Amino acid sequence: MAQQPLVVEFWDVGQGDCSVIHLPSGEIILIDVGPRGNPISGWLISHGNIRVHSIVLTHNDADHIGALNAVVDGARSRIGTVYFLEDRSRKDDVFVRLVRRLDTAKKCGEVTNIRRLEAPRVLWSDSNSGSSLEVKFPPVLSNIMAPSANETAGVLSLSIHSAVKILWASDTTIENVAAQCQGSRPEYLVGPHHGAPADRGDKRALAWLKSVSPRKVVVSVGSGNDYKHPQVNYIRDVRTSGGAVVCTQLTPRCENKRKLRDVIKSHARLGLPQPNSGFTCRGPIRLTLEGGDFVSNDTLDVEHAVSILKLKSPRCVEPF
Amino acid sequence: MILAPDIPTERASYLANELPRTVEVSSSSQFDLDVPIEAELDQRHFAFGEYFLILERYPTIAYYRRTYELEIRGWNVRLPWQRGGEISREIIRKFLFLLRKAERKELSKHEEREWEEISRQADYRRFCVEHAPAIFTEGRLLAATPADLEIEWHDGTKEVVPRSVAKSLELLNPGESFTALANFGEGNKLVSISQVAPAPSAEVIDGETLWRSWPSNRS
Repeated sequence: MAQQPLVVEFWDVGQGDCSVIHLPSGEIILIDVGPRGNPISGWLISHGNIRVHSIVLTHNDADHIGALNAVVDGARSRIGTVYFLEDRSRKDDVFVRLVRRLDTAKKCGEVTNIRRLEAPRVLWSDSNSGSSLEVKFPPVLSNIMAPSANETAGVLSLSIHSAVKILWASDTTIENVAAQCQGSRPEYLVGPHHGAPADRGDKRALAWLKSVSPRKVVVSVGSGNDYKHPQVNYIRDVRTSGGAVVCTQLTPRCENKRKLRDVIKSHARLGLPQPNSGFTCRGPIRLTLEGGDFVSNDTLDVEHAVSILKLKSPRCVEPF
Repeated sequence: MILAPDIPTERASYLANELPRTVEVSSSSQFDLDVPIEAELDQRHFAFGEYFLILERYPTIAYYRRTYELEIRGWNVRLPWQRGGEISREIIRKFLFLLRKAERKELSKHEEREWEEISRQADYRRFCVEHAPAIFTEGRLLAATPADLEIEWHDGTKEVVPRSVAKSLELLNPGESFTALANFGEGNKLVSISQVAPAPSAEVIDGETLWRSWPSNRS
């Protein structure tokens, strides 16, 4: 099969995280699978020829792993390795159900391998494009010692010729991203924590962000989230540090709740399914590796930039 | 299929296969046969076979008197007048054709522009939700009343659904776990459920026992 370009998609799954990496071999890697009922499992059913190289679960909250059983079923017997973290009590009902589902999937041959997500580890690499996907966090000890699930959430990096291009920060803290990826200057940082990292109010948060210096921060967030994600002080710090913020869905942070509507129709344009809840802001983002850099769809970027100016108070552009 | 049992949604119009009714929006001199007459189609809901598509605005139809053709403006679809009753079919065909190409990243530059215009007109989210395949799901029937059933999904969220939506769950006794295929609609609410089968309860699985045989990088 002819080699395809490396493509990274940050999916809009409502309130939750799910990224799809299309590998040059035609396989895909899923980084988190989003909440229950999101369209990723239906997409896998209707793309029955795609093999899942691996599923990387960075955090076991429902907005990251809720769709796992449907994904395992939808991609039956086409899944290579599932990487997951032990990040909560073994008596946690929901967690035990997840483990049981994976255990059954392994025994039935639906999943080839199950591994713990531990740093340092290269999950995938390609010598032709010089790209590699690595686990930056957590190492074994941090995983065991973490006082809460968020503090052991996985951090992943996608590098091209050793230069970090994309960082997935899951639900971790800004301090942890800075500790693992200082000076990395990624083109994209996903999260952390849907635009509301726990330490966003810390006086050092801006300095930590500056030490990482992401060009764009992707906030994977749902219009109806009850947690007030994304937080305005985090958006302000990202912008002050020289980065731009893009949210998958529009939230009442930027527009009156009654006036929420799709800002642009990016799902259809990219041929990706739209979730059954929430309103698109930038929607899904597709990045294609071209000449050593990841490029997104210019037309959609421009359309989005123009459309958000019509919102009541778009936090990603308005003066503060 | 309706989106969700308790959310009022626009009713589907299945008049789609009847001859279209149009309202004239522009006209020209009867002697100038090369200038088309434009009319707004009094219909936004289009159905054909299993497919159902809603447009966000009424499409404009142009009638060409010299060639006896009609054109769906913005869709690049032309038909002979006598095939006017096939507008629904043609709209859905065009929509699906471009959607499949968009899914496979096979759109040409010209098709990309067409798709941009067409996808802007369509209620894409509703299309996706209504045409999504049923997905595997797990849960537990918590309680049953004469009108409703209370379910706890595998992720810990709870939902009360009318019996009319989840009739097949009546197979279960309260407290029993199940696996099933389900469709979720607006707001992730259950729309339909099928192939319900009782499953072992999470409570009978001892987490510690399960973990003992669990693969580890550390070993």
